[in-house]
Amino acid sequence: MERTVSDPLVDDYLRRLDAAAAVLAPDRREDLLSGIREHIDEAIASGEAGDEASLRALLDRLGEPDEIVASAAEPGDGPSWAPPNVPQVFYRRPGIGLELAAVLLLTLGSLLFVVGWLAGIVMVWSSRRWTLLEKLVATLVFPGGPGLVLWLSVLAVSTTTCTSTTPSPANGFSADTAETCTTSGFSVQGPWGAILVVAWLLLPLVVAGVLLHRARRRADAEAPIPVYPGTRSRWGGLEIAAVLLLSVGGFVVPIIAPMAGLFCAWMSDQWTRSEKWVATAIASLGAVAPLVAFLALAAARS
Amino acid sequence: MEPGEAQNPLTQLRRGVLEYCVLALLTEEELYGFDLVKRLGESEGLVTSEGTIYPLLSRLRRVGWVTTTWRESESGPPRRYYAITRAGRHALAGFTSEWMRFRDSVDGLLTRGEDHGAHGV
Repeated sequence: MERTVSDPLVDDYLRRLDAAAAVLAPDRREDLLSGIREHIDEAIASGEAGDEASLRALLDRLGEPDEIVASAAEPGDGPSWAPPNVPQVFYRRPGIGLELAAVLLLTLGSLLFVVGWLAGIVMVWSSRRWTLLEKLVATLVFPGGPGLVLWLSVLAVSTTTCTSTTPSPANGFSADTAETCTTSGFSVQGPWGAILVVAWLLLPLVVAGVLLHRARRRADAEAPIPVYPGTRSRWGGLEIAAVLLLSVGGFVVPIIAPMAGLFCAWMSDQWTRSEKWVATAIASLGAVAPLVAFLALAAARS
Repeated sequence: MEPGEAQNPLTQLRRGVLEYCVLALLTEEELYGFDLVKRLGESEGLVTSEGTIYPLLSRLRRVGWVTTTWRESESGPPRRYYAITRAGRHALAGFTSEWMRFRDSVDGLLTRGEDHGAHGV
């Protein structure tokens, strides 16, 4: 039946009820709405809801539309009905973004002379998913990472002027120093040098794989992280910018880019003070590393 | 919805018992919705949201425990009157005897706990 009285309050209430009742079967939805409509009309006709205050009180006594529909719902009704106003919370397994970035920087990132590797080490030491021993291993196998070997090879090839000298067996010293050089430091001659180079290239990769596997396993053992709709993730644009500027930025714009990276890092609220200081100290060294590398190359060429 | 309401056992209990209270009210006379709700509201603690009575009435009609008839009223819109059926009376009688036993058992246990609490200290 049609309602005899129209009032914005009532209209709004019935509209909300109609929307909430969409989960009910059509005949029951109509039944419920007509029942509530009659109730309100009767109250108004009997003079019990003459003014706005008493009308509000009437609607209050009727209850929230969601609540009424919930009491009407029966097994087999529409899409699963969820309580109103309770935000849906999802859970995700803890990510290992920091550890992944660290491992990538220690291996691939080490190609960026010393800077990428140093950034990786900072991340390794700021992770709480590795033990002290694992962090030490990651740092010592091998300093500079596989990338440094390639860099040193490049530097060495152009500078090696020496020839290997055979140590005299008579002098009592062993022949295990196959390196016999000369001008600028590093050469890969001899069996031990080759083994060292291969180890320097491969061991970091093995260590990286093991560390990553352990980090994943430990992260899985942690409590799942609730994700509320509309909240930001831990790794925002600011943090990514800081890491990129600090690690690679020095190659593009020496000194200034790492400074900008530091600025981003200090702006972020996702790192502790000590982590920021470590980053600052290393970045100060790292900022000049590309220049040193460039100068070394230039000197070697001349 | 009030916080914690879903955990309150009385909410579930109230929901189950309320339809028999409606049937009981209808044994003496036929009533229309608004009147029925008002009378239920007179018993304290029985109804928290009056709107939930209407789905309940709709359910009673579907299972055949009440019937409805439209009647004109002198003052205002036509009214839908609810009347209890023979099946409804039968269901009410069955529930009433079960409820008496249930109520006595619960009362007996609850008051015994009360006595212990009073004398135990």
